[in-house]
Amino acid sequence: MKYIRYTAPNAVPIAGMRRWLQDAFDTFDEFGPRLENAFRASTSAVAADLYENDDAFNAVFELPGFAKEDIQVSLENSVLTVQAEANDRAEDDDLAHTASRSVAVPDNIDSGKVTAKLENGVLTVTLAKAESAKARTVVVE
Amino acid sequence: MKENLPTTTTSSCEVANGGQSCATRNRTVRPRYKAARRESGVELRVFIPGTDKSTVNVSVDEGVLTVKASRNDSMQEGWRPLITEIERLDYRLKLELSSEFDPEKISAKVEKGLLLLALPYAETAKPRDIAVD
Repeated sequence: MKYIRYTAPNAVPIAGMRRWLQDAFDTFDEFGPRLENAFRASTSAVAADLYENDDAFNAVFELPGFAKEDIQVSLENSVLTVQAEANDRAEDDDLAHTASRSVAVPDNIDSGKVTAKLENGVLTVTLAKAESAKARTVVVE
Repeated sequence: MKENLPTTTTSSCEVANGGQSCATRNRTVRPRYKAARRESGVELRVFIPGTDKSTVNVSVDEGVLTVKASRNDSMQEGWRPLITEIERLDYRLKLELSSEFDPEKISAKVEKGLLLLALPYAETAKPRDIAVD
């Protein structure tokens, strides 16, 4: 009996396939960073956390690269909005950036007691709960 | 033509763990970064919110720039989480530098949750005028 190696009809030689894959990745290597920078030069997505305890809510936003003067915090219709624009760069600079994020918060907030603190690129906004919304213990007589 | 900006060398998972298997390490995250070409070199901004200078380590070994940083902030104890999007993981980033940079002259500064790296070109890579006799 004679054995003959089987070759699939449209098989691509391994060496050719490797070259084809390499070319594809090389193209992406060139194009990828440009595309990435094109998006990042505009507005960055901002990751956020929201916490609650009996007295307040704490909203935490990642805002690296911004000074406190660059950041605006507003609360309107139970939506907390943070907007930031770095002022130390010309607009056409590749490293210029802005950031914006809104988070819906419960409506039981005392709008007169909202504070914000920026540390190491992390903004923490504390929103005190309205007195009527705070948990309280009722003494049974 | 390929850009001579720093490029990543391995997958983000391997990069984040110094080449170790992803299954056997502490979880880390690859920080976002931006680069801009200047006359004297490349300016790199690595976004590392939640870290301060004391936890940031930058090294260059055999043409590979490595950034390691640990977050100082943590989930707030005693608070009930309603939204949790922030990944509080340590940062790991490796970038392969081309020979046009001078590794001895790289400088780093941490401010506002950013690591600012200046990667100056090596003298041999800089354009120069040649006098014609």
